[in-house]
Amino acid sequence: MSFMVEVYSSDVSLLTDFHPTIKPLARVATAPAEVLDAASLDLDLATLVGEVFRIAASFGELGGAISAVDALVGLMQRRKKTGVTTTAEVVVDGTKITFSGDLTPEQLADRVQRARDAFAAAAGASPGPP
Amino acid sequence: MSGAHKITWWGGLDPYTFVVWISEDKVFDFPNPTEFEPLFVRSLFLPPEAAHVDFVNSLTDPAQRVTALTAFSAYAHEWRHWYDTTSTPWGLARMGQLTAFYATLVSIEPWLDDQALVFVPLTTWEQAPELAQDLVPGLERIEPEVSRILSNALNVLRKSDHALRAHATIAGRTVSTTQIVEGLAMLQQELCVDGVFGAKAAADLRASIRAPGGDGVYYTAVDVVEDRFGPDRESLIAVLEAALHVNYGVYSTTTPLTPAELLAELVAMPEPTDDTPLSERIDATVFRFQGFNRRDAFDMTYEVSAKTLDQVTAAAVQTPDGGSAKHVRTVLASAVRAAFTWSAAARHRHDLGDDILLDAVPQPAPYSLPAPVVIEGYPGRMTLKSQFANSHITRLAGAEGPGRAFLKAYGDAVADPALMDTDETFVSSVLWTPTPDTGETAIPYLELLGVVRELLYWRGITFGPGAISPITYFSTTVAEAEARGQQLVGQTNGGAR
Repeated sequence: MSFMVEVYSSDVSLLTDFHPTIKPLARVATAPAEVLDAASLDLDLATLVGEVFRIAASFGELGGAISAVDALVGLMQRRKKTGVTTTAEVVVDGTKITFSGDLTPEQLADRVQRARDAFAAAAGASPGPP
Repeated sequence: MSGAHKITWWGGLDPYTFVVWISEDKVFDFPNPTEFEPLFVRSLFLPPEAAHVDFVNSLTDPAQRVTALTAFSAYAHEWRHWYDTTSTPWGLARMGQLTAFYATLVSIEPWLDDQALVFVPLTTWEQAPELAQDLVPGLERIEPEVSRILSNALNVLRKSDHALRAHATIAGRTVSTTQIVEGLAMLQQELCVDGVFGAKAAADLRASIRAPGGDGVYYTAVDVVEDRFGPDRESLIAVLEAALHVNYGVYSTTTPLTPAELLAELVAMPEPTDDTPLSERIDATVFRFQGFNRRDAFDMTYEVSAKTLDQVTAAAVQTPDGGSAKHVRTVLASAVRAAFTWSAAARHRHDLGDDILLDAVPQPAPYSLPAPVVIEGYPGRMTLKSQFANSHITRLAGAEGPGRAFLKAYGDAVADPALMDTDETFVSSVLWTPTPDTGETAIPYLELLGVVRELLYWRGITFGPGAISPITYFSTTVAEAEARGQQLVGQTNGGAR
């Protein structure tokens, strides 16, 4: 049932603000840290930005992960209102969903749904041995 | 269909596997893929020709035309990355260190062979063991000695990535090494399109990349140089590739003298007061920047990188037979060395002495100095097993291109319902690739293709599937782990199983 969710962004302050939110929702959540190994990244991010940061978290139930993504989206939308557009990638079990302050409401709804589907799939596929 | 399998790129040089990856996936978004696909595949191994021109001219939709132009020149773009990473000081240093990274990483193989459960990615297992243990109760911690080896390997990798990710502010714009490299690749792609389809087509290609929603950042470095030196493509290439001539034979790979900083210096070079050729002015500027001209930077970096490869060779000799560690070290040390030699000979062919038979030296061009290529596409968008006998892949199997042949064996993959809308068996294109086993025409560095699967295993378990397509991860990392009797846990990729 446990599954891992990773959140990548070049905006460390976004992840710093997100960490106190995700921490109580997750079973374990790492602090934001720079990803020093470009080999772990999709080239979309690795080729175009100098720094990428990551939070990794384990969830024991679907609701926590969904709440975490909702909170991340909320953070990004609040930033957009202040003129700051950020991008973050949510990765779960090999599936990557990109969120951006630039998304239309329809796009955002689609991405949130994709994240939920990915969480559900990951929660159904145990990360460990039975 | 979930759409999770779709990818949006034509190709890329993956420096972590040392080869060019080409994706066929986007071909299937085209209205007429059955006519388009064979032409696209052919362009990966032989220059575009009249049939390609006819196809483009038959398209009335401008968007389709530029898509076809992009596809038919995609290999030229990726080839340029191969060429620059195997024949410039920046590239030599980076490839040498990447080889050292793998040569170090595979030292954990004896420990790994004893693990029935392998948490992916290893970096998370090592750096956040509490997270790994929460996900997999009962999972052991990584041994301190293994942790030390991993740390050493990652330190080497970080050094190799330093220059790639460096950036500088030039004329008010931020330019990174990546953008320099991408700029060179775009100019190479334009050169290909210009030569086959004409100047208007090359301009259309550039306009499409620069259009809103396109990948305009690929032209950032070109724009900066063009503003200073004008639109002549040859001059743009000369300045951009000069920026990759930091002397890593003397300076460390984490030196603040980065390609982006060197480009800033080149763009700021004084206006000529006489008719001194641009090449001489570039060398003078490179010398002012670092105390060495381009040739010295190349020669000294080559020597240092070759020593690194010699050390890997020596380590390979000491490595017990039978494992991946020995194979990876042996192949990388010899094939990367061969790649340096062939690419450098092509780049400097006019400086070679009279005792060199110039006819045997490849031209610095995409189809004369072939890059190792792996072609992938997702099952379901590729060829159904039931249609295999009639596919173009069958027709290509055994066909010979310049210095290469097409692999004659393919693997099967059973589609995951999450990715596909059928459970029929598909042919996985991941496993078809040119093979170096072509007798007289063999090119030694193409041996890299023989180690790709293992590199993807090591990379996949170390970093997870994030940067690898699901089917590739499945057919390399997961399959290799199964062959080793390991169960991958953690981020095991639900995309394809």
